[in-house]
Amino acid sequence: MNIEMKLYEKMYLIRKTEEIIKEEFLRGEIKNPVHMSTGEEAIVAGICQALGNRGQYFQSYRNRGLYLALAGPNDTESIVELFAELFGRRGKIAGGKAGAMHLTAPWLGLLSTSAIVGSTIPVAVGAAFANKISKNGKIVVCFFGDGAINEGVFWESLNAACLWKLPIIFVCEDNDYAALTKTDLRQGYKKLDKIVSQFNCQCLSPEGYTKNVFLVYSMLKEAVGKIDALDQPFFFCFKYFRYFEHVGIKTDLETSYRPASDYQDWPAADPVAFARSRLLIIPSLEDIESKIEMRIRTALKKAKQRGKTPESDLFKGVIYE
Amino acid sequence: MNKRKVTYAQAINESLTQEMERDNKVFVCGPDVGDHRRIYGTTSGLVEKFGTSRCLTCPLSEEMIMGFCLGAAINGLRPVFVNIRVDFVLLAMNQLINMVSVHNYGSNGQKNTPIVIRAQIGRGLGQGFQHSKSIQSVFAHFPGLKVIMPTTAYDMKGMLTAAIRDNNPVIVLEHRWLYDLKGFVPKKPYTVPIGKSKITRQGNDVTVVTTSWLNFEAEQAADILLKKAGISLELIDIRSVSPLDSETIIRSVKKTRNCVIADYDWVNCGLSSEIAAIVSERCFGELKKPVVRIGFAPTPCPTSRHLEDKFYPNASTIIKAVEKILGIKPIDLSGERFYNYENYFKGPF
Repeated sequence: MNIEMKLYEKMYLIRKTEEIIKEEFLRGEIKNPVHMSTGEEAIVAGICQALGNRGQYFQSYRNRGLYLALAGPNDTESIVELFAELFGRRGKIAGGKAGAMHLTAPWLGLLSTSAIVGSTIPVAVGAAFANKISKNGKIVVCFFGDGAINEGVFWESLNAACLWKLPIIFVCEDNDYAALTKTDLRQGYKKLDKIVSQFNCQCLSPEGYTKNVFLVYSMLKEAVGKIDALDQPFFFCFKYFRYFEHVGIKTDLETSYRPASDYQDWPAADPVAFARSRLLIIPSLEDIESKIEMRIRTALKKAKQRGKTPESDLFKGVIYE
Repeated sequence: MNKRKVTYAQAINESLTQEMERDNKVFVCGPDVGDHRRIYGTTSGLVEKFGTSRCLTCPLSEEMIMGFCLGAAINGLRPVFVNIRVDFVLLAMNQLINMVSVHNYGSNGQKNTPIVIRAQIGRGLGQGFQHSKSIQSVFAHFPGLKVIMPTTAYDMKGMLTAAIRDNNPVIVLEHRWLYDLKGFVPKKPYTVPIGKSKITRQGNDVTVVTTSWLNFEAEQAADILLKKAGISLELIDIRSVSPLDSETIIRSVKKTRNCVIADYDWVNCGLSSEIAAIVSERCFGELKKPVVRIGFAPTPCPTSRHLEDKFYPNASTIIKAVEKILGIKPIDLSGERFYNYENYFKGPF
């Protein structure tokens, strides 16, 4: 199967799973906050595909897109684990203790995610340090939103990674909003990339919404190819359109937070629609899509067959015995 | 028997050196760890022996360093993060509490977190309200963290070694007046288990539970009370704040039926409150008198010497508490010389 189709499959998996998550949230099956990934599919899918098994990943609470991009549509078991964690059922992510905001899946390379803005950034730097020391060839990819740029620890971490020349790729997923606050109320400088490029790293900040997954993929492929020789971190800033509200399953339009005019941008910013328009010539496209949907439904069913996490598990794992 | 004596600082250095030799995953990091002073000598020789990446000088970015340690631990290393004042750890509390302390729980044990956080506490030269805290109860409040306060060089080497080998985050609180104190320390590596307190002096009249530097104040108080009033104190060095060894305290209080808690910290919502609650729950009917708690004055720590002397409890504070609990007349303390900045206990112990 060609790479374009692989990228599309990852994005389609994310888009459709989020639709099901919306249904399950409305049904009351999910009793913890969900931060939807719709709109960022091209960034996570392109990056994961480019890194392959060289990648180790850190992310914020908006982490399901990344989780699913790492799992891919063929790994039904990982999709079951995701649903089980969200539903508070038995499973290997955290047996329902972590929920949507704190997914950890080392078997996929997803090492830590967090609900405190910016807080996985220094952790990613430490992981990259360990990789450099052990010379295992791994590259850490550290995702965060544009809100994290306002946290001091982002700058502390960028400084340390550049100082120690660590194999790490920082990825700012910029959706213009920190929770519900727009950039112009938070930003006291002119251009982020101008500042970051003063650090000893490679800084790339493409213009416009990131709708082209093929472009993300090729940019990251190039970065992976260069990172060892350059002996420097990379910093990417990808803009995207956050389709849903900061947290929850409504759009900002439904909560009348964002002006309707903003949503006029959506069709042109939608990365799934963009990729699909490029792949329409593939005759089996619809078959592939329905196969993915079937896999998600199967995973959902399997997750619901699992028992709830036993109450005694509350006390397990506070201290590693 | 070998009675080799080394200082508390050397005991730390020996533990770090031996553990770094034993396991190449162990590394030391923090601001100043590689400068010429080498953290009061506790990190001496590490750069020369193991290189700058295993004795890693860090920028002044405490929150970053704490998160960095978590990431390094997740990927198999065993970091020891050195802070020259516990007050600076407060800069890293987001990482420590929101990330480090929950990581094992939140990943269902998929990723354990072998991290040691060393921090200096206590009185120095007019160190004042931003350079001399202890705050053991702050750390001990949170599930998922272990907190230790070794007092002797022997315990320091053994407990630090145990902390480095532990797969959980362990906070090690080191009083700076202990650094030069010499004591018996075997050369070979050994561990002292975390979670056990120690009876340092047997007695019958009052149990005095203490932490860190106050152990020496309690020793002096016990000597004076025995000499001048025939009163015998049973002294317990807590050593491990979390997990707390309640059983040793309970057994002793059931024997003496009196309890004074002298904690090197503030009283309010402190370790002394926790121990008093445990004693009340477990020994209520057996206590002759209510538990007495001793700690810092309920103020920020001042820097002037005469105010500092008022701020810190000492042996005479403990003696007064014992007099009160036993209902005896005040002992004549004239002629007794108490520890202070100019005159503190310098061992050997």
